[in-house]
Formats: sequence, structure tokens, C-alpha cells
Amino acid sequence: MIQIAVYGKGGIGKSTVSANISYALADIGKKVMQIGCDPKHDSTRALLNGREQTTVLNYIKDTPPFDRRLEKVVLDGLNGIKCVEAGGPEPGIGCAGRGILSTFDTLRRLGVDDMDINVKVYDVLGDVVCGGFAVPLRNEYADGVYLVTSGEFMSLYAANNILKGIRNFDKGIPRVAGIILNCRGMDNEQSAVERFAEAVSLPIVARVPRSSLFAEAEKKGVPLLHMFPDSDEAAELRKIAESVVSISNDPSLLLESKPLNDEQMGRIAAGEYVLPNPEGTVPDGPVCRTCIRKTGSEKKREKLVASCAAAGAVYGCTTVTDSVTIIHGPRSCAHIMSSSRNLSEIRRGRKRKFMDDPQFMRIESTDMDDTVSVFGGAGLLEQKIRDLILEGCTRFFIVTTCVSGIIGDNVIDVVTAMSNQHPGLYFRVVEADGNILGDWEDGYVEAADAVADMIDRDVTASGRSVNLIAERYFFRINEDKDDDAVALLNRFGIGVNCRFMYETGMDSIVNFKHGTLNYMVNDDAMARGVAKVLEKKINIRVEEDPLPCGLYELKRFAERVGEVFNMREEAAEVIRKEEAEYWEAIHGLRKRLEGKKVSIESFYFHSIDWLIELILDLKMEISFIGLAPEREWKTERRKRSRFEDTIAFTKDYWPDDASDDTERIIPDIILGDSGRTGIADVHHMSFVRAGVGVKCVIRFATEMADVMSAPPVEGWRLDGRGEMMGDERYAGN
Amino acid sequence: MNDMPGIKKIHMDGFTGALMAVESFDGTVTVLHGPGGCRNYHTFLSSQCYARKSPENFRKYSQKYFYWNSRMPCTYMDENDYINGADSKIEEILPIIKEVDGGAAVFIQSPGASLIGDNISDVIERLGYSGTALAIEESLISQPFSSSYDHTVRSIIEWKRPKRSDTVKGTVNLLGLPITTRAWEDSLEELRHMLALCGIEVMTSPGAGCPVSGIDSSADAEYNVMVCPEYGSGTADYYESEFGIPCIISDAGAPVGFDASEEWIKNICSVMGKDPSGALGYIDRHRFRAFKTIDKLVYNQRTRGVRFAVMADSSVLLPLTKWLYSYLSMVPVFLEAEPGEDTGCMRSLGEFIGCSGLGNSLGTDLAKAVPYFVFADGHMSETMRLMGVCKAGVDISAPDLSHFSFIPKPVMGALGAMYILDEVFNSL
Repeated sequence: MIQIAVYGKGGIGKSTVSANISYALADIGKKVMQIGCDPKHDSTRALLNGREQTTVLNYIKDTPPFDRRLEKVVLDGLNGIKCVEAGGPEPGIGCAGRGILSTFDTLRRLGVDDMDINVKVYDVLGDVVCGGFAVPLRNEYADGVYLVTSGEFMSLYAANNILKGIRNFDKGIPRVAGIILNCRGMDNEQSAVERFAEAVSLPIVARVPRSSLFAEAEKKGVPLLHMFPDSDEAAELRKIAESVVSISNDPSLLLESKPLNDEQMGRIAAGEYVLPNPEGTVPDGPVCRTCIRKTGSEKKREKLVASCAAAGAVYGCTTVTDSVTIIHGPRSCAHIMSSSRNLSEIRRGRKRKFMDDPQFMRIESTDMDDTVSVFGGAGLLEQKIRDLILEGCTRFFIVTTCVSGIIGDNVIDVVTAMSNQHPGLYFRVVEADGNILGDWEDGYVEAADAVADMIDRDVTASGRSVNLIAERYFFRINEDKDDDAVALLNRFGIGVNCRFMYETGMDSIVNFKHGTLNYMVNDDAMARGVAKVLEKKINIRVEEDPLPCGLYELKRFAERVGEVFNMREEAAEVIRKEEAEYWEAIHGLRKRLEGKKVSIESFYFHSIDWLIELILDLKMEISFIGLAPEREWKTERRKRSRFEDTIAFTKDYWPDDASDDTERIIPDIILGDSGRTGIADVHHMSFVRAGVGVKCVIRFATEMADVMSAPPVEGWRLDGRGEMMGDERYAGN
Repeated sequence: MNDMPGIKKIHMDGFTGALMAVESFDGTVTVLHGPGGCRNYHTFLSSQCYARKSPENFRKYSQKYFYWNSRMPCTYMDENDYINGADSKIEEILPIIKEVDGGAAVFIQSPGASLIGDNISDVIERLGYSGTALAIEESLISQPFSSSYDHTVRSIIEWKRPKRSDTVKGTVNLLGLPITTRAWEDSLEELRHMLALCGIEVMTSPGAGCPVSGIDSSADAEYNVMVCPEYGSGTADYYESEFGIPCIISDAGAPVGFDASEEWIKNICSVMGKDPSGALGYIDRHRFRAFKTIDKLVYNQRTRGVRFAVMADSSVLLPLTKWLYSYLSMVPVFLEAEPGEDTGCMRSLGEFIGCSGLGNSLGTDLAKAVPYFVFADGHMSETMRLMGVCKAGVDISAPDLSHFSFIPKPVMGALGAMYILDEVFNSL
């Protein structure tokens, strides 16, 4: 079997030529299949007496994968020629190149390779040689390539582009069969094509004259060869079929692709001769509009992107209580994000014994499947929004996934149109594009940027209230700590104006600037990223210190609020009580913890000063502190510790090192935030920032003492050790 | 104005189905060709559904692409890969998997990766890994979870090309039991036990803990028996067309509840010419035990008229609804089949609802239906309880990532019926 691809500029007549090649080959007894690879799907019409056939892409759009049958897309045409049309999306929607890929995959899966065929003829649009349109250029599909061109410069330019594409795919195997001159009747046409052919060292296989016979045959819905088999035109077309037979018998007749550069093409257009270049010019490489649509960022890309910006964006958007978040992507993404969200809510809900207004219920999906990658997903998104409007929803966040990002769906246009139709509703697109924007944290900050758009810039600060920024709670253990921050502020007589991105309604967000002070709740790069967005976007100042964790930070906090709210005495009184409570608890805990050696491994947190302070107050001994390398592509750097002058920190510490160091140091307990050192036979406890105030650190210290009172390795672990092949530490146990 | 859409479940789709299907085999490594963001949830889900037999040595999996997690090594596709393709990562990961794990590597493409056109099969063949690695190239995104699961199981079996030697009389392969069924290992044991009581041996259970090495012998089974057709009909077709192994499917759906369990075993025994009395006696003993327990309750009429909702695969939806109605006199008020439903089961369910005059009691909005019980996946059933939509939730499938069960609590067979009764009577 031989496969040939007939490439040419749109409208140049390659479908007419292809149909006649197929007909001529069938006439001499070949079993032929013609596959049209042009979205306008008219390649095989002349072989089907003018009938249209169901395109592969329309078929897969309407038929589930498991119900698809080959015979539904392969029709019998004149002379027994098997006819297939790939089809494609409407102009300007989706990715037609991706459609060709889908067509070829579908045909292969449906068993096209098992059919009894001698020659396959691919009729391919050649204006764009990238992505899917280049598929027939690959080795496995086209043994020989014919270029159809007229003497018009744009046609020759397209032919040269195709040669560039072939050059990218041929891997050193000659695969160009020659040029087919399809005359348009212009002056000096033959000369122009001959100069081009000579420059690229290719033969002109046939010179098909401009003729009214083609139009007559087309009117009848048949190839010229069928209607005028004895014409001169027919004789010329048969030369191409003879060429196909020749290259089939002798592949050494195929030639290398030697495309011209732009300067050389300019000279051809100017009527000059260009000497053949023995090696051909170096092609520029294919370019795809969807690939160049968006480049993620200036971030360094050496870093592993282990999470998804869309997931972070969805988490952020769903914190706005009176809104709906539409995930524009496949159901996989929506399921993962809603199920993960649901899981954390179940865990928290069980502790509270109820669940009110769950966030995962605010997630909707456009359910993109493999057909929207061809036809675009704009219609799905529009329909989803319309359905939700009918359900009474009024505020929408739309988060894009990598699927919508890759196919280049123009979500903004869809949403703008919807917004114009419904001026009273709120729409905001977050173009996370899956992990193209970055990781979870990037998506969360992007969502903060979107939510911040709602804030009324004209509102002014008033009263003794603060805004809390970037609160996040996932799988809290023990009691529910969500309200620690609010409780601490209440002790100072300070109210909370807006919990930005934590179960917050639109009204609270709009009036964000009523708050006098702005505090981050957590102390990490993500919280600082959100703070920066707010500072830039609504011109506020976010406090450098986050809400306090531990006594030192609490004192600083008290000084600050005492000064700003003119309540120094009240603040001092609160501190006196908190400090007394703290030291009483610490003295009690020292009996259990004093002198114990602690090793700390921190991979994620911006600052662990609260933890070091607690360890020192408990009179425990710090044997080792390992800090993971700073994620330099993030805009935030780790804050310098106030203990760095007195305690040695091991920097650029990786999880890989953890177990070795643990064995070397042998502490009484390891405090880690990665959860990866639990395999060692020492006490181990995971930590996150303990919370807000001093009660949370006392809780943490008590838990640490309890862990150290228990056996370091649970009995159940011993039951599996015999199976742990390859870990020398358990050998012989 | 209402900014909260109605209660809707975002179902697992074909991508998750394909991943779980590969994970269901013992001795495979699921390789996720896609971004890292697709990995975390699925490793959690698969670990919850099917814990590996041997404890895992995390150091062994500190390699690139594994990153301390033995489940689902991932190519961590990023923006650069979307533009230029990620063939080089596939080339790199193949020898790593062979060295670290040694299992049969099955590549599943993420939704994004499926758009790029990386020819994984080509790389596998070119590097000489055709015997140890397979790529499921189809894009199954937003397709039903069940049919995609079935398709993937079938693809793995086709790849392994079992060879038929001699038919072993009295043996069957158990098909259509996904690992996302609640306590599927216990259900498998229960069904295996019931069949053994009738002199039928389960040779393998593709899609439910079947070792890759066991696929070869599966072609020697005399029959295939179906648990949930949505998850096994394609695989059954393969065995029938390739080896002439017929598949026995119960019209009553999956063996859920006493009645359907009896129907299931009687149908199998009838086709295979076996005596079902052993298994029927086993079910009878459980029936009598249940009778004694319920009979002694002071308020043993409490289930009468109790409203319930079921969100499940059609082959579970049918028998569970019928059994709760007939055995406990409970009333269905909301029924929802997972996508990819079996047409036979749905037709039977429609006939049952029509004949029972239940059409008017069924609602289309779960919250407005005010059920006392919601039978659904673990997340949905628990969430509905916590939200106050129902009084009690009974989990019958994954995802159920917040709950762990140490006592065997299958959903299927006689023990499955006892589990459901436990949940119902302890929640009234």
C-alpha cells in the first residue's frame, strides 16, 4: 500500500486534482481510499455524484466513542473508491488542525488500517502547516507528497511553506513526489512555476490546463476523467496516477524537501531565477496560533509544577458566598476540584456537626469533551451561563482550564457578550488555563485579583475594625480553629470588617475599605501575594506582620493596634492577661519537655519564629533546623529570622536529606511540615502555623508533650516491616 | 434571586474511570501523562479504594516522576510541553518505571495532554517497551466513568492477549465490579463465597484486583458472570468474540439486597447447570437472622413509608430501590442514575415504578424531595446529612475519602444486605 498526500493552498483545485488521481488509479485496478482533510469537506463530492457525506468530526461529535462504526464515515464512491471527509469546525472556532488529529486517531481506532486498500490519497489544506494539518506529513501517513500550485505567488508561497513542513517531519527520508501545475490562465504562469520547481529541485509531474471541462464535470458531480476520459486534460491527469504507480514501485524516485527562504521567494516573485540550494534553507518551524496565544509568565520553568492554578483559582472564587464558579473545562477538572473541596468541608462539618452553604455546591462545569477541542467550547459556556441565569444565579466567576487554554477558546468574548445582554449581573473571568498560569498558589492569587475588582475604591476607613486577608483552612485536626482570629480581635475590642476570601459575601467585599487595618492571617508567600494585589489594586497598606502567633508577635500586634486605635491601656491589659496565661502553661509543660532535643524541618513556611520561640521558652534544645531552598521564582523571599544570629540554620535543605540527617542527629522529636520523616524511629509531629494568639501555641506544646509520652512507633507499623524490601534500616527485623 | 444553584453532583468522568481501571489491576503502574495537578486527587482516591498489598518504601519512590509517591507516576506536563510536546518525558520515564517498580506501565493521558498529540505508543514501540508498557490513547474526558473503566480494562486484557488452552469447567471470570464500589474487596469475597457454595470457582476478576499475571488464565474460564454491566459489557464482548466465552447477566441488576442476590446466583446456576441451593441457603440464613433482629425491635414498623433517595449506577439503583421498597416498605422519592446507565436496568426500573404507582412520589430536586435516607457515594451521602437535606446518608461507592472501614462491610450479596440493614435501622 502506498499513501500520498496532495497539498495545496485553499481554492487552488487540489480537491479536483485529488478526485481525478483517485479515479485514474481506480481505473487501472487499484483499490483507492480518498480522505479529505479540509474543513470545507468537499474533497470527495465529485466521487459521490455530488452527494455530501457525514464528516468524521461531525460523527464523533454526535456519537459516543463506544458506539462509533467505521462504515458510518467511509462511503463507496465511483469506481469503488472509499471516501472519507474529516470536516472541521466553523471558521474562527476551535482548532481545525486538532480536528485532523482527531480524525486520524478515530479512523485508526475504528480499524481503517484493516481495510483492503492499495492507495490512500490525502487531500490536505496547505495554507497552514502546523499542528494537525501537518499530520499527513508524518512518516506513518504519507509516503509521497504532491504539491498543487498555480503560477500565483501566494500559491507558490504556500507550496514552499509545505516544503518547510515536510522538512521538519521527514527525518532525512526523501518524500516529495513533485509539483502539479494547475493552471489559472495567468500570464507567464508556466515560467513562474518552472523557476520555482528548478529552485527547489523538484519535477513538474503534470501541467493541468485551465479548462471549462472541469466545470462541466463538476456540475454533474463527477470527476473530469469520468465524463471526458479521452480529453487532453484527462491525459495530463493520468500522468499523476502514473507517477504514483512509479513511486510506489520505486521509492528512490522521491526527493528531499529543499524549501526557499523569504528572500529567495521574493526573487521568484520578481521573475528572477534562483539557483538550486543543495541543502535547502533552514525552515523556521511550524507556528500554531493556539500555541502562541498565551505564554504563562516570566517565571522560571525549571520548577516542577505539582499543582494546578485553576484549582487554586476555583478555591479562591468559591469563597465568595453569593456567587457561582463555572469551571470551563472537562468534567474531570470539575470533579477533582469539587470533590476535594467537599472532602475538606465534610471533615470540618463533622466537627461542627453541620454544614452550612457548602462551597463545593457553588462549582459548575461546562463538561468539555474531545469534540469541543475541535469545535470550541464557547457554545457550552454560553449555554451553562444561560441555564444558571434561569436558575436565579446573578454572580459568576469563570475559571479556565488547560483544555480551554490549549484550544484557544475566547472566553472573554463570550462573557462580554453575556454581560452586555445582562447588565445587572456580575461576571468575572479568571484565565488560569489549568497549570499554564502556574501552580495552585498562582491561581489563588489570580482569584484574589478577580475578587478585588468588586471592592469599592471610594469607601473610606472608619471605626475600630480590621480586614483579614488570605484565610485558608483545609484539613484542620482537633477542634475547629476558624474563629481563633475573630476571638482574639474581640478580646481587644476590635471588629472584623471583611474576611477577604473566607466565606465572604459580596457586600462585605464591596465595603472592604471600611476596615482601618489590614492583616494577613497566614505568613506565607501566597498571603503576601494577595496582600500585594490589594496594595496595588485598591491602594491600601497591608501590615508587614501577619496576625500574631505566639507571645512575641502578640505583643507587637498589641502595640500596633493600641497606637492606631488609640487604645494603649486596653491593649496592655489584654497582653497582661495573655502573658500570665501563657507563662503558667509553659511552666507546667516544662516538666515534660525541658531538655528534650528537637529537630525542625521546614519546607513550606515563610517564618517559623513562633515555633523557635516556643521551643526556647519550653527550655527544649534545638539540635537542627533545616529550611528548604527558597522558591526564587516567587516574588516573596523568606523573612529573616530574628533568631538567625544565635541559632544555626541549615539552608537549601531538601526532603531527600531529611532521613539521613535525622539518623545523624537523633533528636527526641522531629517537627516537620512535609510529613516525610515519619519513617524514622523517633517521635515525629507535623506542624503548620499554629494559629492566632498564644492559646494556639499552648495547644501545640501540649500536643507535642503528648506525642512524646507515647511510643515513637505505633505497633501496627511493625506488622508490615517484613514486607518493606529494600529499606536496610528494617533488615533483620 | 438565588445565587446557589440546586444540589447537583459532579460525577467522576472517563479520565478518572481510566485511571481507576488501571489501578484495579495488581501489578500495573498507572502513568499519568499530564500535569501534576491531575495526580494528587487520583493517587489519594486510588489509595483509598485499593491499598497496595505490600507497604510502600517511600525512599524507593524518591525518583523523578514518582516524587515520593508510589502511585501514578506523572510526567508533570507544563506549558512548554503543551507547545512542543512531551515525547522526551515519555522516553525518560519508561526506564525509570522499569527500574523502580517493574510493573506493567499503562499510560493514561490527562484532558490537556490528549490535545497535544504526543504519540505515546510510538515512543513505547521505538524504545522497545511494547511488552511492558501500553498507552490508552483515547480521550475519555467527560465520558461516563463506567464505560471508560470498562474500556480500559478491556484494552489491558487485549494488550496482554490471553491464550485459551482448555476450558476449565465450573469456572468463571467475575466482570463489572469496579474498585470504586464500597468495600469492593469484601463484595468480591462475598460473591466468590456464594459461587463456591454452588460449586463455581472464580478464576479471575478483571477490573477488581486481578493480577496482570492472572489475565492469561482468564481465557480458560467456562463463563463470565456480570456484576454491573456498565463496567463490564465491553470486556464481556471481547471474551465472547475472541474466545467464545459467554457472559451471564442477571436481569435483576447487581446482587444488591437479598432478592437480587438470589436472582443473580439462580441465573448463573441455571445457565451453568449448577445447584444454587448452597448459596440460597446461605442467603436464607442471613434473611432469618435479619428477621429475628428486626422482629424483636419494638418499633419494627418504623421503616414503613420512610422516604429514600438513591444516586447510583443503574445496575445498583434498580435492585436497591426495589428491595428497599418491597423488603422494608420504604418509598423512593428521588432516583438518579450515574451517567452511562445500562438501558436494560433503566427500562426495568421504569416498569417497576410504573407498576408500583410510584411515579407521582418521585421528584427531580433532591432537596425538595425531603428524603430520610440518601444512598449515594460517601461524599454525597455524608454531605446531604450534614446539610440537613436528609437524616441519614448511606455510602455505597467512592468517592468516600473521609471515611475508613476496618470491619468488612460489602454492599453486595447477603452480607451487603446486612450492611444496608445495619445502616437503615441504626439511623431511624
